[in-house]
Amino acid sequence: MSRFLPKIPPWVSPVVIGLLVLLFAFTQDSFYRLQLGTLSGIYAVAAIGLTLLFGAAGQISLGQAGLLGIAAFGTAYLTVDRGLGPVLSGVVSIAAATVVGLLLGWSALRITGHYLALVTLAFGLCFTELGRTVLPEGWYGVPPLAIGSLDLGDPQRFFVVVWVFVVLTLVASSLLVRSRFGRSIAALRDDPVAASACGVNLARTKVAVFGIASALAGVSGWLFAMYQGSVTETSFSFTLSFNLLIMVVIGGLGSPTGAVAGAVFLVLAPELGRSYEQYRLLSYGLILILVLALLPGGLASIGRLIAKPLRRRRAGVEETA
Amino acid sequence: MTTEAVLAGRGITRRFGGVTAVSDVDVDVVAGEVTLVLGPNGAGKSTLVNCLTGVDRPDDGRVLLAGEDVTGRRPDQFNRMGVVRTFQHTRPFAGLSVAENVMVGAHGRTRAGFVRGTLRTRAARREEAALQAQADDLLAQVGLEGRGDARPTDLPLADERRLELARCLAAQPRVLLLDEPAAGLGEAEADALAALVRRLCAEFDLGVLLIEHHLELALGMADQVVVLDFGKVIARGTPAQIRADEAVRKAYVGVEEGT
Repeated sequence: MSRFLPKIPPWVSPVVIGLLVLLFAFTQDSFYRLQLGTLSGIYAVAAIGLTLLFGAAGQISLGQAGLLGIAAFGTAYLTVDRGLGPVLSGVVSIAAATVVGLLLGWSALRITGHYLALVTLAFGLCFTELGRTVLPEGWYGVPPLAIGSLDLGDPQRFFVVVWVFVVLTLVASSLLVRSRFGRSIAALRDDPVAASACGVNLARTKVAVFGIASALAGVSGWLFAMYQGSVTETSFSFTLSFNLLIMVVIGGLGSPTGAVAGAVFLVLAPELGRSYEQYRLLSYGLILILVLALLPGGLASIGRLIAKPLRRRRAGVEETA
Repeated sequence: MTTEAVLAGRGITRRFGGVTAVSDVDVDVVAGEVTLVLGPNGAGKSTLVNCLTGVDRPDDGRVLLAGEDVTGRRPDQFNRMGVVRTFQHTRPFAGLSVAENVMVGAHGRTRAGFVRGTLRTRAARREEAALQAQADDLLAQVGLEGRGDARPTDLPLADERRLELARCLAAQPRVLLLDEPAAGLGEAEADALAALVRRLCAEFDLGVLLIEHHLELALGMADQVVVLDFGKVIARGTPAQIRADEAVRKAYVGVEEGT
């Protein structure tokens, strides 16, 4: 995104993550660990969307859980009640989440900052309430992912499928932030008045970013429904929206790779400290403060910190040669 | 009043509550010429520029671009029509590099959307390469050669203003509006910037509208002058006529004594 930071080629992190995932998938047969890995991948997709929205374009959203919920409920309804296949249900429910996200972005065109935070928060809360009142039972028995006769539902395969989505999203979003569109959303974030004077259509750009983030939240919700096999509104409460935000901040605002790291971190950290369950929120708070204080660029900046001296050394070698 | 104005304001009026910031102002910007809008602080100069670039909407009057009424369009539409501007306080995109700032300047006339940009289609890659080459070229034009990878906020003010000029030129504009480009600059820096603006104006056949209150500097580089006081035009003419004008002397008492 920024040419003045040490440049790590865009293909590095997807390749590294892809290799790690394969290694993990073929060495782990622990159901429990695979499930955790799958869950972090599912959240990673939504977190990448949010980091584009919040980090790259400067538009905060505290309602992402609502969008995940729409896709998850949609998938559950279409598969359980309507008997549609998981892929087709996914396409329809992700489209639904995207449309709702576009509408949310459009309705929030005139507001920014704290007001945007409140409006998106209200949207998320509305969704939870709606889930509680209109759909009190939730849905059970969502079938696992299968394409025709190809079963992708067993833990190992589903883990790989989820992480294929993560890597694809990562590649796409890394290319996106380096493109003309990526520059225009950075301009929107840094100075809307100047961006507009540079020919950036603020309204269209803002709605587009909301749409992209919502589509990714939708993918995440669709995967989640199949992962869990059941959908209840409690899975998409404000806590999830908040956790996504923490993932993005811990990972490093605007960095898709950071969002993935943040998602893995936030899913694994509580598991490591399982016996200290009651301190979970406290530790999130502490972690957030520590990251912001010591590593303002988030987990993603660790990569750059490593790349910097390497680069300097290489430059030094060239100079003396 | 020349007839071949690229950008023209006719009867531009803008009120803020009970205050009329700009009152019935006519102004012409002609290709290859510098039109200077002069006036003391609070005379309504910035408001006029805002009205002429879509940042603000005049309450009365029309904005004409090559004769077409474009009043009330958005700033990005003005940009796409070839009308670009700088701001009194520099507004670089702090999160982008200097070169990327210039590339954003070309946003209005480039096409790759997020799908094609992400998929890196052949057209998008070609466009991107052309943009990078253009950015390097423009940075060289304004004297920022080799600074493309710098952080814009690390540039001294004079260079930040040069960057904004390059960002404006990236749109390949017909009209350039500069809101106090010399504000905060030392004399040598201001002179160098003035020379640069003159050169760009001639080279790209740009219509330039300049707001300035560095009186001598501004008069020295202008072809036509419009003087505002309390939102009204109190004089217009060539720099020589303005120097001799009684009303202008009054508005600028103390400033013109030594000159």
